[in-house]
Amino acid sequence: MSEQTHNADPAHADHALHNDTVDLFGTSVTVPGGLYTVVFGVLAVVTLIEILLAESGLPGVINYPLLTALSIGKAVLVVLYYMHLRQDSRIFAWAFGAPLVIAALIIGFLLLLNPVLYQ
Amino acid sequence: MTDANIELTHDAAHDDHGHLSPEAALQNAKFAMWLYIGSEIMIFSGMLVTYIIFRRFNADIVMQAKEHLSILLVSANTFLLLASSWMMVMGLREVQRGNNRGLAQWLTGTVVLGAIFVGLQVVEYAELVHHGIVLTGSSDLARYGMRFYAPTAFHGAHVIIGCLWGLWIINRAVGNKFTATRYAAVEVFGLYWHFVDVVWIILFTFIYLI
Repeated sequence: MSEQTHNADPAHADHALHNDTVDLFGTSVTVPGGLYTVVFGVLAVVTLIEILLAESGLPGVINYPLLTALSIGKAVLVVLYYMHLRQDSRIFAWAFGAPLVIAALIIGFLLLLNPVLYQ
Repeated sequence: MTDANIELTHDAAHDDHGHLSPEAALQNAKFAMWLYIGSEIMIFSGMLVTYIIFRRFNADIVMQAKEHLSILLVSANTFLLLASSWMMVMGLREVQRGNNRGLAQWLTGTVVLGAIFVGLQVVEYAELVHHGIVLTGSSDLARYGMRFYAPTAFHGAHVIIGCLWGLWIINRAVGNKFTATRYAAVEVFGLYWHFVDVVWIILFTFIYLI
């Protein structure tokens, strides 16, 4: 990594520190601190809802799909907004999605196997 | 960024000396990390499905073991990890604005929360071992323990590695090693840390809540 500091012009540097839009490799890119904080808030609230649901004593047939959906929703939020898959190259999405699909197929297959095979 | 960014022409991807441009280096590093994350998905999936299948056929044992799991403690840990992920992305935002000091400050928060997470996990494990949920043996709780500790401890190891990696990044940030165009190490570390968060989101639901 280079040791030179970015933005030798202090006025430019100060402007950058108070702006959500930065110049990355010649492209104007938004780095939305407010949005990141909102996403964190949503993650925290959904986690709280999950805990309350788990402790509510609702039957599993209602609770399990709900908890699974909320959990996957949280994971998707992190991947899209914190890992920037929403705006990054689709090649990254393939590198992430392909193993996910393979894993889901294997898990589905193992769960559908005749229970006798596990005894 | 668009697909065009990763499909840089040879001229655009290299400088006059034939070295990779910062943008090409960043894209390459990110692609490598995504491939690594793909391999990690397979490993964690294997552990998770092992737990789910065990749970499916041994519901009584799992219910017995769950009486000893502290949802309060693990919930607190979950919030800590979520907050650490938020601090990580805020740190990345700072380095993208050329602010090494801001990066170091946010990442210090990330590492501290990660360390607390590991500390609380050790407290949780000590309590579980006290109740007979151990890693080896033929008792029902030991059989559960094998399936429980494998994914959660493997995840904990990832958090420990992440904390050490984070300290290294902080050290470099304090030395002003990053710029708004040369921060691939931060971005790659961020992907790793967020993935560790995603894994915990899934484990928390399937092991502790369901």
